[in-house]
Amino acid sequence: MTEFLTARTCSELRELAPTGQLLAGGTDLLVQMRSGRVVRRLIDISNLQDGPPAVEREDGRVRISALASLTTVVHELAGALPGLAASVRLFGSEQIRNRATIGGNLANASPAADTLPPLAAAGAMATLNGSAGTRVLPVADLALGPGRTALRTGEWIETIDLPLPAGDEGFRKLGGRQAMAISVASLAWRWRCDDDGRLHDVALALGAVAPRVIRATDAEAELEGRLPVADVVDRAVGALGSQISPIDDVRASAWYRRAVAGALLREALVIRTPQRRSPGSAVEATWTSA
Amino acid sequence: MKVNGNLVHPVDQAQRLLTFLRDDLALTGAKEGCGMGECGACTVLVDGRAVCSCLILVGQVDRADVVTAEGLSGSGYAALQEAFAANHASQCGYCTPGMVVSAAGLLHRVADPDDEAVREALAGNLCRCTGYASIVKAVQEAARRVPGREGAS
Amino acid sequence: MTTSQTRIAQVSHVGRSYPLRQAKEVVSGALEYLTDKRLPGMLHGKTVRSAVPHGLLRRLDASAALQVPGVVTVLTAADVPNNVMGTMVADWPVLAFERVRQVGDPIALVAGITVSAAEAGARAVVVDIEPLPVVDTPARALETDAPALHPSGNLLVDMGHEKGDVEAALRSAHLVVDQTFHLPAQEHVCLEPGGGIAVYEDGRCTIWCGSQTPGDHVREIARALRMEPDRIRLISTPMGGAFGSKGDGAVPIHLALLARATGRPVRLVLDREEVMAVGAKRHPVTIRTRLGLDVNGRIAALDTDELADTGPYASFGPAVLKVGAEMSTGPYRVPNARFRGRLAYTNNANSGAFRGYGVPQVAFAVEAALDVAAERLGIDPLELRSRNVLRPGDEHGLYGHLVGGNLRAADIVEAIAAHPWWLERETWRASSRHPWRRGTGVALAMKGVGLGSARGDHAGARISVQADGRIRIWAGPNHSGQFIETTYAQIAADALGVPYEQVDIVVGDTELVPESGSCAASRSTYMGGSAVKLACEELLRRVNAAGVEEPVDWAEAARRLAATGNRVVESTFVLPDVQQLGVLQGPLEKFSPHLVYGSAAQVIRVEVNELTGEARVVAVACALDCGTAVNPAAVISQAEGGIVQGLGYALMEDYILRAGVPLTGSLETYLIPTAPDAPVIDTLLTESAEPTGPFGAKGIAEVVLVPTAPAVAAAIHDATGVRMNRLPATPERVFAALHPSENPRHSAAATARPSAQRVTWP
Repeated sequence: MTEFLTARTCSELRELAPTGQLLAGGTDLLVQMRSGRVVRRLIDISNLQDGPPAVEREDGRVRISALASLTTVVHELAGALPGLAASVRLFGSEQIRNRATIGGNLANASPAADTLPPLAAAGAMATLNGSAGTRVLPVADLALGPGRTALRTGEWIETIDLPLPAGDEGFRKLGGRQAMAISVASLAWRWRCDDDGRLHDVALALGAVAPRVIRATDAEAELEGRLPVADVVDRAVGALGSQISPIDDVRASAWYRRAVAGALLREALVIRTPQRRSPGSAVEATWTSA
Repeated sequence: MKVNGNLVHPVDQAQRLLTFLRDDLALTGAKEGCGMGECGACTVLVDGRAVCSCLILVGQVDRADVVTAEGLSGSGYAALQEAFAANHASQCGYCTPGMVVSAAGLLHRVADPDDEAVREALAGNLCRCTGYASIVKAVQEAARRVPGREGAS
Repeated sequence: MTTSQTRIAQVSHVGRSYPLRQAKEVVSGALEYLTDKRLPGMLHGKTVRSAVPHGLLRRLDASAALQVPGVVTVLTAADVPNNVMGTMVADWPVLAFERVRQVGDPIALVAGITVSAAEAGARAVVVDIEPLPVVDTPARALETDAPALHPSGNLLVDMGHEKGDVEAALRSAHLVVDQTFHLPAQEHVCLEPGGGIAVYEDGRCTIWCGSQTPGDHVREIARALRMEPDRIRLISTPMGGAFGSKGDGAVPIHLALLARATGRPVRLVLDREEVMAVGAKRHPVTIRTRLGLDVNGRIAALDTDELADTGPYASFGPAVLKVGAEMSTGPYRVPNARFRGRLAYTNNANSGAFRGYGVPQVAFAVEAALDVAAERLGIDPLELRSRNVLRPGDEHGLYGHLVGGNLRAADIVEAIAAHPWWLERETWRASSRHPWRRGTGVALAMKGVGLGSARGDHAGARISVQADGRIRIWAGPNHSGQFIETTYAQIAADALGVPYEQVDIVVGDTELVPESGSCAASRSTYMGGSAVKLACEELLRRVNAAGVEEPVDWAEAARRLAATGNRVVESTFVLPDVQQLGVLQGPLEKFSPHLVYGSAAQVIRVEVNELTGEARVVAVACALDCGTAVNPAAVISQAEGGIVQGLGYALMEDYILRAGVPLTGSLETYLIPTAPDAPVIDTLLTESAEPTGPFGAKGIAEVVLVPTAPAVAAAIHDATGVRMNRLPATPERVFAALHPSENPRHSAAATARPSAQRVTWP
């Protein structure tokens, strides 16, 4: 039997957290428990009354609650982070987004986590809370590998802090269908385009092509300060190869993941404008750009 | 917890909301199609938002307002249910209660959703019979008839 | 006689789009499905299943399970009086005996006072299986050193037929297209998982469990439990989806076994993962097609060689293959045709009945081959089909029997050719914007209505006038989502000249409804509706004979008929056999050709991302040869649903196993289309009166999904120039076809670019 406890305040949570498994939206954990994961004590953190506000903005930065539902976060962001909003749009279903949290998505440490690439591309920092106090960690360093995180016993992710984009940001996910699909590969980007069309402050993060979401720093360097002309794009796409290490699974082969990671970057660089919804097409939900 | 307007007192906080609704309250409008949030047949409203009741524990919503398909007409969504019937939006009907609840969740926050918004909001509700077109049509027709809801975003 | 003829002229309910009869209960969640049903004092069942695809049951020990608190009983093969099932081939144990042949094979049944007690009991059953080598492809199954899965060997069926001289005609053909196609296993994904509840009292067993073949299921239960069939009652409605999945299988038998063993009501509902492991799939097949044509594009010869994977048990495989054989020549004139089909046993997922019943596979092959031919000959693909399509008075392509005169395949070719999405295909392609390339494809299909000739296909209906004048009808094929009660009531209302609301319909109860066969084979409206109409006409004759004049006062009619003991009428409709046999020799049931066919043509618009390989279906136009549409909204809804199942088959659905172990055993890994995946659909009903059908109706629920996959493949080719000869056309497969040089493994196997097509020039 699983014991169920609710933390209604942060101080309750600080006491309870080391004694059991934290339960936020539950949209991953309860699936794992159905598949046989045994949890002796669940500590519900979805009802914290003194948790952080869903979204706070100051001086070109934004702080997001890791405990609020994705739906609430995107609503409160009001278009401020289009890449993150796009990743949430493609995150499970409306029902899942109404429960799932960014904290849960990060703590689950899936290589295919949808919200992590846009946060990693933005250089977001996570504030962790726990019995030993708070500490701050780059979100990209939270996951150590599939299902493994840098969280210590009794720690939880409280907020995510990141700068608002100075230029474009976007997210593109490729899955087995147009909604409700786990990523075969995903790409988040930030860059600023100057008047000559050169790219600056390029940041790229890739999902589902390595044991954890990664920053494609080599490709970023190839693009930095350059016009995205054909040979630059080729070099950037080529530079992805050394940094990714995709696997074969039932959704796709490593070969395809490797190829399509480059294709997603190529697409982002070549088009850089939102696709119009095609006449009669259901949803063009795979693309966004600021 | 309130379910369809009635106060209820679940005993086991670690029980799934879906099991509580079906087994303890005999509200079988929410169906179990997969148990893992992939099919949406178990969709209910929690504080006005569509959620999968198979992925929520009772203790998480012990102070919430839960509405199931059985309670929709009492929550102002009779027109939505009528639109599903009039537009032939069910065949076997098994997905329909969850589908209607998701549509209610959508109309709760968007007064007049376009085709794309309806499809996106219903993406988590699988239907194997209809091909979805009649469902989308029903929701849009209902949107024009459901009285304005509070809290639309 | 004159009465019924007058009625036909006064049709007023047939042709109207009545809503689903249970719509109110459905939309409010009030409709109780059989898996919702609870009974006082009920127990809960759980099935112990094999985790390995092939092995010997070395030890099966339930003693620890019986010690688990709350466990009432554990049943194994030893508790099944006659441990066999299978309506066509009795090769399927009710509970595994000595051996398991697929992941999910049932080994034991546990009943407990709670769900968790039953589950704990199931976990406590000790099962020791010694693994055996796994037969994981039909090709492997047919090798001489492959382990035999059944005493008769691994070749379940090897059937064939030839009309004319195919080899000679291919030799002299102007063009021969020679292609091999690989089509996947498709899972039904009915939203309601299998299961129900059963009680056993006083030597009688009542089972509430979804079934498309209630009569067959009763006989299966009777055989396994050694009971008289008339002591078994199966209530099988409402049903949360079927599509072929609820025509056989062990669940109703398991329910009956548990109820009899415990003497208490027992509820047993499968998990989605159980359904996916043991539910019979659409047969995965490999088909080699050789299509010969003359210089004008007229088909000279068609040779189809199909190898299908039936999994460990026959299920409906032999009939599926037979229907596939009949439809292997499509709706086309084929002077020389040959079909060879084989079904092999493997340790993969079981295959069986799935909407379309063998036709989607052979239709994909012939349509894809025609598309290649059109390209090679420089003939418009729809024009090529028009030159070959069956017209009234034509003989069937393979068997040569005279096809029923009401096949309107030529009409739907004309209808679809006039659709804007076909006429404007060049504009559509020209509107492509990198990286999305746009294309249009077309395909055609036909499918027989009912089980076919000489199979004893019949349906019954019973009708009575209630004392208050209401009409009550107990009729055959059950409701599985096709609005069948609505259809029966519309037919009855017109046949009797009564208001639609005056008619009550009862389906899905073997104690009340006359034996009527399956709700399958596109037969419910045609067969069940015909039986209803016959019964209505007989009732009307009796009413008239009793001296009740028109307009009939039905309460008065009830009194008069009751006085003569004539208040209940039962009629049976028998599927008409083909009359002119053509080249068919020998017993007709060997081939079971059809007299009546429905047909469909579809034009499909796709967009393909040339950078990533993603394909999406944007719009589908469907012209449907449906006879009279009794309930047009229901017919259109069947078309829309079928098309979306067909696009799932084309683009994403693939039940994958590795060495017999399922890799796509949940709805997270096995993907079906969601609302955003579904296209805009425009359905054109090409109506005509089928002379043998009720008010001119015929069946279409299967044929609607058949053209979708080949039309999608043709559209992908139109957009990109690559041919997808292996389904589903996943992004990876399309990408591999678009970028063969980058591809270390896929280029030859997965797909073929135009240069790699195996086209033989004369």
